[in-house]
Amino acid sequence: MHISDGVLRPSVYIGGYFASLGVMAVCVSKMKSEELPKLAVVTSAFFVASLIHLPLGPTSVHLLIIGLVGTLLGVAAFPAVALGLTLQSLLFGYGGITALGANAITMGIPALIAGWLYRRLKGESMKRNIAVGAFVGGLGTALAGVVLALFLMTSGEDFFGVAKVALAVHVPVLVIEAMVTAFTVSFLMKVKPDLIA
Amino acid sequence: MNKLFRAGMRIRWVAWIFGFVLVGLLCDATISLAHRVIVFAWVDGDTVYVECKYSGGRKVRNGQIIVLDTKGRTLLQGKTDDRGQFAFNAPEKQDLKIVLNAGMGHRAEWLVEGEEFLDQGVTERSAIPKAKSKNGSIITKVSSESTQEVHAIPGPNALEIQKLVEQSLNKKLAPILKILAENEDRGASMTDVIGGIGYIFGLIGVAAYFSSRRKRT
Repeated sequence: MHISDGVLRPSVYIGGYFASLGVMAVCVSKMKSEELPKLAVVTSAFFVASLIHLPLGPTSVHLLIIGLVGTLLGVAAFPAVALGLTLQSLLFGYGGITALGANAITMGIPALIAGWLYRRLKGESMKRNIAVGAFVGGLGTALAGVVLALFLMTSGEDFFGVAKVALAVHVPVLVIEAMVTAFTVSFLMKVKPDLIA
Repeated sequence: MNKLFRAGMRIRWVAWIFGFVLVGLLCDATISLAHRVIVFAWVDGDTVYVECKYSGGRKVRNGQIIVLDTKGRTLLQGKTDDRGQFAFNAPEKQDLKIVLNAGMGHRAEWLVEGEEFLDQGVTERSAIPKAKSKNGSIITKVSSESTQEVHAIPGPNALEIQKLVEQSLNKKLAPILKILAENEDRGASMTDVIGGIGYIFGLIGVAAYFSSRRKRT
């Protein structure tokens, strides 16, 4: 899901930077300062999760945990994803520096949508929340594939072709992330329900 | 309760449909992807060998290779095989830019420097006058024998030796070049991971400090 340097046109990646800075400003203004420790923990998890490769089938993909980040952080998910991506790019070489803004949009917006949906759909019962958690956990990664395809369309690639492949190769990731999110939700509901309020 | 149950059923249905669509998509996906691709190329004679892989160590299958010259003109294109390899005869002995496009926004570049070709070209060319001068000295010494014969024997021999040496060197260096290609993958190390987590906590700590100061004032 990380776009490399030299793939996007300058107008697109500069636009990506401005768009992500705008979203970032809105998110930061809506964040509460009490959420900062949680933000640090979830950002670290997002940063490290990209190292977990799934050697399933003919592909090599890694976890993204976008849906989980959204579920746990809500509006703070975008800054978390942006910071995590910056460090992944600098330290691991995943994704280009120029494409950082575009990558933040690719993964941050689905995280925000996943977080919003979780808060919208969740109920009181454990079962329902686990189901919603699994759903948004998978949805985050799927949406990221769609946004990625939109970005690559601007450099002349076929939207449906890219979207199809991006979704298809991430099926194992999707399944695992749905399970991880469901498990996290069920665990936090038992232990510290106010963390995912 | 009934309402909740129905909502639950609806979510389950959506999840099932979603799952089926994705499994269907998986069936005709051929391109693999990860988050970083690495391309490595080396020269052997006139042939340029290219090896491509993902940061996890998996080979890039069916990746698009574009070979460009220094002016950005496309010289040739191709696709990597199942072992992530691609070889081509250099159309021009100059700097070549090899671009790997593995799809999904994964792209990597490698520059083959013109010198890599020139080294071999120059030695071959310089070998000829050397051989001739040797012939000359031999000819003056062995004046009784037919000059043509003497000229014919050591000339090609020197060239042949040169070629044999180069061939065996190439053979011996091939595994080393392979090891270099393998090591091109500078994966994330433990230091990177711990350093990154440190950065996250540090930066958010600074943010927390400033937000707490703002609150107090």
